This record gives sequence, C-alpha cells and structure tokens, in this order.
Amino acid sequence: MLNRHPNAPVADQGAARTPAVGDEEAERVVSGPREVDSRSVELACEPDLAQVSSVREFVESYYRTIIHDGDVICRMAVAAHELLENAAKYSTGGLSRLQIEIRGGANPRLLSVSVSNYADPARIDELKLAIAELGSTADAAETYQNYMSRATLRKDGSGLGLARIRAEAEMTLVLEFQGDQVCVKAVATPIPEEES
Amino acid sequence: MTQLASIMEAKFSATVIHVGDDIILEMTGNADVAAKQHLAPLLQSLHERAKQLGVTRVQVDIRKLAFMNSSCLKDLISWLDRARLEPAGSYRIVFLSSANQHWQKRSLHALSCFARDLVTVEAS
Repeated sequence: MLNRHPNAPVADQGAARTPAVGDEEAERVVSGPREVDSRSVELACEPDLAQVSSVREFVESYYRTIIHDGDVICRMAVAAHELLENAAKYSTGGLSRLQIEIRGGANPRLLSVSVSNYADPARIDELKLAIAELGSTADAAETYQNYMSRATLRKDGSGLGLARIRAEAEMTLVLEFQGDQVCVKAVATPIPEEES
Repeated sequence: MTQLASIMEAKFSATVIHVGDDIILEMTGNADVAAKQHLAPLLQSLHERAKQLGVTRVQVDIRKLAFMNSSCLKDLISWLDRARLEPAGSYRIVFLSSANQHWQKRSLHALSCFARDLVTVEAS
C-alpha cells in the first residue's frame, strides 16, 4: 500500500544521516544530542480503509521513539486515522498524501496532521460546511455532542470524524485546495505546557 | 458464566459473556472497518439479551483495544442512545479502560457526557 512519494523522504527529516567509516562528521552527528526541533513524516499511499490502522500504527510507533508524551501521540493518531479514513471513503483515485509534523523535540509545541487527496466534487460543499461549523464553534465539546446526537439518526456513515479531531484531539481544522486536490489539515498549537 | 457472542477477525475480536447480574463485552485489537460490520448487530443483540436477562450492569472492557474509529464510536453512541431510553432501573454501563491508551480517556469522556446518567468510566 505504501509508496514513497517522489518528492519527499519516507520519514524523519530530522534523522541523523548514515555514518561512514572514518567520517568525522558522521561520528559527531551520531554521538551528539538526539534532540531535534522538528520531526516530520510524509507518506503517499493508495487510500484503503482496510489498511488505515496499519498506517496509524506505523506513525504511532515511529513517534514513540522520539516523543515521550503519549497524549500528543494519541492526538496525532486520532487525526491521522480519521483523515485517512475520510480520504479512503471519498477520494476519487490516485495517491493520498499524509503529512505529520511535530515541532519541539521531546516536548512538542506544535502538532500538524494533514491529508490531501483527489476528492469527489459532490462532497466538497459538505466538507466546507463541516469545517466552517467546527471552526466557528466556541465550544468544541458541545458541538461534538451535537454531532453525536445527529450520528444516531444517520443511516450511512457517522459524520463524526472531523468533529472528533476538533473535540477529542483538540485540533483546529483548515481546508486548503492544492490544484485538483483537497487538503484537510488539523493543527494544534501551542500545545499547552502541562500536556507536553 | 455463559458466552453469548464471539467475534474473531484478524485484528479485532469481541466476546460477550453473562456472569451473575452482569454482561461483559470485551473488545481487543483495532475497532476499525473490520469491526464495523459486526459491532452494530452485536450491540443490538447485547441490548436485547440484557433486557431479557434482567442484568443490572453491562461492563465494556476496552483495556486491550488499541483504537476505535469514529464509525465504531457511532455504534456505541447508538447503543447508549437506546439504553438511556429504557425505563429507570434498567442496566448501567461501565467502561473499563486503560490509562496507557490515551485515546480512551478522551473518547470515553465524550461518551460519558452523551449519556451522563448511564455511563461510568473506570481506568486502570
């Protein structure tokens, strides 16, 4: 399922480069502090509902090696999973791209998760409305409760994914258009001190 | 102890047992698209059996559940919605969660707000 995006590394833009024997620079990098300011993951994959959990588990396990705050990882995982499922449900084909950025090393100060894909034009207005509603609410938890009540009346789908990101993961949602692709970005910044 | 239902998928499993005054639903693995096809009928059946058996409590053990997607959360919400419409004195619902699974605290908080008089959350 996972393909390496032609213009981006698979993961870990902050990783130390592979050392070579006798390479003083490489030895200095390896023996230096592990702390880095930014850790990013970028993946391009064919959206497939059956494989979303595998992707989520990969990014969770990757960030667990760097970040000790399980709650930040959980928020990232909720956003990544729900956005990837939406892409799998509503993409019209081609690759979907997952981008995750966590800044601040072991004590994260910014968390960003985005998924871009070719979207069904018929879904765009619904997506715009949902993101506008979730962006304008003064009480994300209360709005989430309203979404939950509405979900009980729906026959198809839950309609909960974006509201869950907004309320449970405490992230704001931004809708961007990139050529023929739509990008939904979830951002949490600044992450409160007591959570990092 | 009587087993009422069992579901076994590659990355998701669920068992429902009846013990004394309780029904216990244990879910493990990933509650995602593979679980979705089973969860709504499982919870509908659990609800009916709970009423038939006159149990006072349903325990939902998700301590070994790695994740639940929003589609499966909807099935839980619909079940809570049905259960809270039952007459007073019907069964209560206790979620058994793991403090190590951070998503559980956040999701269960939302669920407990949805059905305040029905749901209790225990973390271990």
